Amino acid sequence: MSDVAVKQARPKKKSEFLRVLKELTKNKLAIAGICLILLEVLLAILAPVIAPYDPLLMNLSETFQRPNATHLFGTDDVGRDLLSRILYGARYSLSSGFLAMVFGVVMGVIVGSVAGYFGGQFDNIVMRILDIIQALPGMLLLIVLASMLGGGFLNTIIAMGFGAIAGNARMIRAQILKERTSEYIEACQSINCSRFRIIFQHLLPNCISPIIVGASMSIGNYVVLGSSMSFIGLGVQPPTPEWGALLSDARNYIGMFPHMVIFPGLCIAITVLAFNLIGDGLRDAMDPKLKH
Amino acid sequence: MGRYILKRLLWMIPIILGVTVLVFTMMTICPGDPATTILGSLATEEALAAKRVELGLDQPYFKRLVQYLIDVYIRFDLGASWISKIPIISEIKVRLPRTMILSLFTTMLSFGIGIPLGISAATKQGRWQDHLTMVVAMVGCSMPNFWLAMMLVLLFAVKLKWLPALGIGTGIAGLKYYILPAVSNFATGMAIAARQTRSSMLDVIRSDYITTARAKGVPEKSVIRRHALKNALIPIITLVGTTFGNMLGGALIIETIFSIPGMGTYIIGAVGNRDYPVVQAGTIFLAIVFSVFMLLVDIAYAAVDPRIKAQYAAKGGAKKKAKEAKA
Amino acid sequence: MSDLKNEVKNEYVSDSYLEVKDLVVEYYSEGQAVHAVNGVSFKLEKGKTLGLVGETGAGKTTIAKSILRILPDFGCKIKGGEIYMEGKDMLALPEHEMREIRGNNIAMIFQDPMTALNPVETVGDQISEVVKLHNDVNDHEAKARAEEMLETVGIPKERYAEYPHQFSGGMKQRVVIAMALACNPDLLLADEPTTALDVTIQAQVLDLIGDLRKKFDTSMILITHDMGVVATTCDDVAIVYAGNIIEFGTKEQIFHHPTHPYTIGLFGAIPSMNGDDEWLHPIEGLPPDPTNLPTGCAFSPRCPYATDRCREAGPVEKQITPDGHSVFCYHIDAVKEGK
Repeated sequence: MSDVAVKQARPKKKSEFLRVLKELTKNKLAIAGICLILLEVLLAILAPVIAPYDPLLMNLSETFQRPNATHLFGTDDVGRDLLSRILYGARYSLSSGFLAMVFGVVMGVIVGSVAGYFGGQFDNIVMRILDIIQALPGMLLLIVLASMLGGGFLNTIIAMGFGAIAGNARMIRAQILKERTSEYIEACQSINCSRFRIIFQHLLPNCISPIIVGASMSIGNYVVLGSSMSFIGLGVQPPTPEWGALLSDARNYIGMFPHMVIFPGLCIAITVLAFNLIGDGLRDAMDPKLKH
Repeated sequence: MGRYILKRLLWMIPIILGVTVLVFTMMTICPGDPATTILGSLATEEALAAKRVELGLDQPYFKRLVQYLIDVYIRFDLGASWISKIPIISEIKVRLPRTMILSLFTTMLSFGIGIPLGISAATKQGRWQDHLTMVVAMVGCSMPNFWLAMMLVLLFAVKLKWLPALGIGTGIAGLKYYILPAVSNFATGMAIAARQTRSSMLDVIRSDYITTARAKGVPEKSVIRRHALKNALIPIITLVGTTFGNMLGGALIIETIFSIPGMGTYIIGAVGNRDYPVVQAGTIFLAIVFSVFMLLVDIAYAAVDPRIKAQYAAKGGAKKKAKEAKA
Repeated sequence: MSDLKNEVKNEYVSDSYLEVKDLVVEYYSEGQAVHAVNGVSFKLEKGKTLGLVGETGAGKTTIAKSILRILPDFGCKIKGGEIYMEGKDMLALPEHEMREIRGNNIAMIFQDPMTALNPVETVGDQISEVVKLHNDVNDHEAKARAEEMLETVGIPKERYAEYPHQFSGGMKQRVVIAMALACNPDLLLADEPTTALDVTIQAQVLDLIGDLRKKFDTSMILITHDMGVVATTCDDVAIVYAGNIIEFGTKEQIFHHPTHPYTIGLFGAIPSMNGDDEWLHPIEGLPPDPTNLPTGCAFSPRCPYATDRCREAGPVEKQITPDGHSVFCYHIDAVKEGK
C-alpha cells in the first residue's frame, strides 16, 4: 500500500521522456542524423549480403587499384576490396561506440550512485580515486588502459568505457545528492525500504535521464576514440577491417593512393556528424530554453 | 585567495602520487613479458631470467612500487629506458616542449579564434553569419583529428607542396613544421569553443541585466563588450581546462602522424615495446602538466567571478562578509 | 525627412506628457505570431502615476519596454502605433537619440532585482555608469553622484565596491532604484517593483519610490497585478487584458465604479477586510492563448454577459464620464443591472 503512495509522490518522468522524443522529431537535423545512423546500421547488418568481396581476401594481382567499376572504392596494398572492408568495418566502429557508451554508463551509474547514496567516508574515498583518474587527460588514460588490457575489439571497448566511468560517476552522484533530500525519498525511508531498493527503484529512475542524454551525445566521441586507438595500433588489430585500422594501413600510401585514406575517414566523419546532430537535437529537446 | 591556491597546490601532491601508483600498477598488470620483448623470442631461458633480475622484475610488486616511489620522489631519478638505455629525463627535456607547443599553442588558437566566431554568431543570431559559423563548427566537431591531419598532408604537403609533411625543424624556420599538426589539432577545439561561446552568449544576452544595461542607455557595443562578454566568458573558462586536456591527448596522436619526436611518439612507442619506465615517467609528467593547467584555470575562474571568489574567501575563514550580506 | 514628419505630428499631439496610440507588438515563436499588445492607447500627465493592472502575460511589460524601445531584436516587432513624449515621436527617433533618452529621461525598474544587476560588476560602478553616460562628468564626480544615490536609497556608501551577490533582494531593488533615479528621469517605468520581495520589504520600497518621485517630480507608469499597490500609489488606472486596455479611469472611478465585467471580476477576487462574503469570486476560465486570440472581444469566452455580438467584433471605446473614464464593452447597462 504505502509503496504505491511513494510511487505516486515520485515525480513522473515518463511523460517527460515522451515530450523530449516529440521535440526531437520536430528537429530536421536530428532526424537526418537518425536516418543516417539507421542506414549505417542496416548496411553493417547486411554487410555479408551487400559486400561484393570477402573483406579479408587478399588478391596480390589487384593491389592499389583506384576506384573503378569492379572495385567501387578501389583496393588496398594487398588487393583487398575497400568497399567490402568499409561495410564490414561499420560493424566494429558503430558497435564499439555504442557498447563503450553502455559500459561506461552502467559502471559510472553503479559507482556514482553507491558513492552518492552512502556518502560519508566511502563517498570521500571514491571521489579521491576519481580525482586521480581525472588527473590524466582522457586520451592518455585511454592509451595506458589499452596497453594494460592489450589490443582487440572487446578490450578497446572496455578501455573506452572504463575511461568514461569517472565523468559519468560524478554526474550521477551530483544528481543523487540533489534527489536524496527530496520528500519521496524521505517517504521511502520512513516505510523502511532497503537501501538497495531506494537506490535502484526510486532514486536512479529519476536521475538517469540527463545521464542518458549526455551519454548518447558522447557516442560520436567514442567512435573517434575507438578509431584513434586502432589508428595508433592499440585498438582493433589487423587484419580486422575497423575504420581507424584502415586509415592506419593507408597512412604510408597517402601520396600515391589517396582513395585509401579518403573513404574510411569520410565514413568516420559522417558517422560522428550524425551522432552529434542527434546529440544536439536531444539537448535542445531536453532544454527548450536553449533553442533559437 | 592565497590560502586557496596553497591548499590546491598541496592537494596536487597526493593526486600525483596516486597517479604514479595507478600507472605503475597498470603496467604491472600488463600482459606480456618485457624481457622477451627486449631480447626477442629466440633468447634462452637463462638470458631471459637474467634480464628479469636486471630489470628488477623478479621482485614482488609491493617492493618494486616502494622502490620506484623512492627513486622518483626522493632521489629524483626517473630511470632509463629499458630499450635504449638513455636516461628518461634527458629525453623528456627535449620532447616535452614540442608536445607543449602542439597542445598549449593550439589551445590558445582554439579560443583565440573560437570565441570571436561564437560572439559574432550570437550577435548576428539567425542571420547567415550565424548559420555559416554553426555549420563549420558542427563539421569541425565531427572531424577526427588524425584524419584531418592526413587530409591536410594530402592537400598542402603532397599536392601543393607548400608545407613539410613530416618531422621537425630548428629555429623560426622550424615553426612551419608545426603548422599542419597545429591546424589538425585545434580544429575540434575551435569548433567546440565557438559553439559554447555562442550558446553562452545567447543565454547572457537574454538575461535581465542586459535589458537593464540597454534601459540605462548603454550603447549596443558596450552592452556586448562590457556587460555581456564578461558574463558569457565565465563558463568558457572552465572549458579551457577540458580543451587543453583534449589538445594534449590529440597532440599524442597527431605526433605519430607527423613523426614529431614529442611525448606522444615516446609514450606510444614505449607501450609497444613494453618499455614501462618510459610509459610511467611520461604519464606522470603529462599528469603534472595537466594538473597545473587545471589549477591555473580554476584560479582564473575565481579571479573573474566575484561570486566564486567570495566563496573561496569564505572557505578561507572570513565568513564575516557573507553575514553582512544577509544583514 | 524625419524632422519634417515630427513637426507635422507635433501639431497634432495633445498637451499630455506621454501619449501612446494604437500600439501593436508581436512576438514570433516557432513561426507563430504571439499577439502581445493589440492596439493600446493611453495618456499620462506630467507628475502623475498611471497603474497598468492585469494578469501575468497580459502585455504590460511589453508596453513599458516598447516605450523605451528595448524589446529583444530577435523575434519581436512593434507592428504599429505611435508613442509621443513631450511631442516627440519616440518610435521615429534614431537609435542614438533614443539612447540619450534611456536612463536619462525615462528609466525603468525591473521586476526581479535578483537578476536585474550585472553579477560581475560592483553595484557602485553600475550606478556611476548611467551617470557618466548622460552627464558630462569625470569618473570622480560620477562616483560621488553614485554614492549620493546609494545614501538616498538607504545604503551606506561604503558598500559602493560590493557585488550584487553580497546584497539581499530588498537591498538589490534599492540599488536598481538608485540606478533608475540617478539622472533624475522625467518618467519612471516600474515593472512590478515589489512582486519579488517580502511583504514587509514591499511597503518600504514603495514608500521609497514615492518619496523620491516627489523629490524629483517624476511621472510614473506602475505595472502591477496588486490592487492594494494601485490604491496607495496611482492617480490613473488602466486595466489590461490580453494586450488591450479594457477600462481606463482615475483610481476613484475604477475603484468606486468598476464597469467592465473583467474589472469587476478583479475586485471580486480580492478578499475584503470588512465584508461578510464567505467566498472569493474568482474569474472563471483562463486568459486566452496570445498565439490564438478569440475573434471579437478577447474576454468574451470568460464573460458572463457575452453575446454573439461580442464574439463577432471587439467593442469600441465608450466614454462613461466626460472626464476620462472609458471602457471597451457593449453591455455596460446589463453589467450595471447585473450588479
